[in-house]
Amino acid sequence: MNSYHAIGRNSYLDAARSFFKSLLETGEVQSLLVPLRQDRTNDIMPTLVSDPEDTDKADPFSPSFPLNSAKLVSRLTRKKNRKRVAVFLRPCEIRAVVELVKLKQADMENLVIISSDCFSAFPNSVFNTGFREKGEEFTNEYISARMSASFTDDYNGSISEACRICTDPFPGIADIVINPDHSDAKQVTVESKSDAGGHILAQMGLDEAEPPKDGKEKRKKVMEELGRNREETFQSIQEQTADLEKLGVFFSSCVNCYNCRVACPVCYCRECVFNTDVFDHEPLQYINRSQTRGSLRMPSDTMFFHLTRMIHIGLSCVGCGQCANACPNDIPLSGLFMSVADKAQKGFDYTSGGSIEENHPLSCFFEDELNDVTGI
Amino acid sequence: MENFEPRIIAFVCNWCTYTAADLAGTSRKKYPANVRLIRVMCTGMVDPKYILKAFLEGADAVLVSGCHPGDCHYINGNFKARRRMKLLHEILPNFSIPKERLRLTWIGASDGIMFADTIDTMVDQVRKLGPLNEDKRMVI
Repeated sequence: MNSYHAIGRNSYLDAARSFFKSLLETGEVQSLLVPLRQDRTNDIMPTLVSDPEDTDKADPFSPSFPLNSAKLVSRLTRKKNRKRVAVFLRPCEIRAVVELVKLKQADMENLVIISSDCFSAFPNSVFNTGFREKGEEFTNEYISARMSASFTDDYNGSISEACRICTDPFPGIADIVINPDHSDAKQVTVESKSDAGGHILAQMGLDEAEPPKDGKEKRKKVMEELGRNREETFQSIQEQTADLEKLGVFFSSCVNCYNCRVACPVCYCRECVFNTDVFDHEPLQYINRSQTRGSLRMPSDTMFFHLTRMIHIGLSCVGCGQCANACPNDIPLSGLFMSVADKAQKGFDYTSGGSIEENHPLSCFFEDELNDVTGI
Repeated sequence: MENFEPRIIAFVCNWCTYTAADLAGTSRKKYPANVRLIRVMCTGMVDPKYILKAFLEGADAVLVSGCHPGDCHYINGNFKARRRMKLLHEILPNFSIPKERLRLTWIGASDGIMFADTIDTMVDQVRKLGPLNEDKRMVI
């Protein structure tokens, strides 16, 4: 079953990097997708590394979260091939990959998923003004602060709304989990969570270690805190968007740029209907609509777009918050979408990204079900 | 408010409910003129977007109606419609569009009287609820 190993170096990041390096050296995987500090700019972007030496700039624990890598995993695995790839993902990214696999947009056969307990992410706007320049020292400092205070540290004000109300910051489906050690700032614990993960770790010749002791208690505490935040946020969002008129006010600064859709990992259509000629209305149609109503806010079809997105991705929403991250006008989309998705998923007794076996609710049906939906 | 006449958009399937509406007509059974029928080949082709569009463009209620379970001309279109309606019933009430404004019914081809009764009941219910959007300047 699960085996535990410890890697000690000069810092958390160095320990993690040595793990990634020896992972590539085993030859079990050909490439590794991991957040990596880019030369010169200090931006941290997912990078497909094949040369073991290039892992020396990996920064998997940084609160930088520029995009949800599930879409990249879909690019890497959408067609079968012989090469095996390892990917380092946040728990919400894993959930998105699971959804994409169910929607036939990704494949797990030659994929090794590595993850860690998530230390939350900052919105791009926050990370890029002040924290990016601090370099990797900041990452080590950030993890130490987060762990010693069990997520109640001063950084709580900087993390994004979606992370504050995260449904599950601990990886569910993963092959290998690599976590900074609570008691020692220079060590990471590596755990195998599947047979494939165990096989790979066995090749690496790591030191055996004891399972961490206080993990369960801390997890419970974090989940309770997140649950409280979630309840509060959902309530305030529901008051702000209680009817269509209020929802219109909520979206009033939306410019129909569709960045939220592009950033969404589970919005996977190659051609979105809102980009097709279905929405290239005749000029006369706009004028007629304006005459009927008295006035028509342009761009139009704003609320239509967001409601349609709720229907399309409500059941698959993994709560990564990239929609809000991508919004140029800072509409707090993540809270709204997560609150609606929560209702939709509970209605079908479904958890997005929970398991590969569970059918997506709109991909199946039964003859004898949902009898309360029909009739007057 | 007293003179409020609800506008109801009904997506009805060609094989059952549309035929039932036809039967209601040929048997001289009256039903309120508040409903605008849109004939579709199957309730399984009613995209949730059609329903959203109807609500945003001024409908006070939407009815989707098709064949009884097991009677679908395309074998299982109505079951797929039912799942979609369930999803809409979970999402739309968040924005004060209750289930009473969005109905799914099974009305077979020979149920002309049932069709007329359904429309009667729905108009009564929606009349009590009042108009859905009164603010014509709302973001849509």
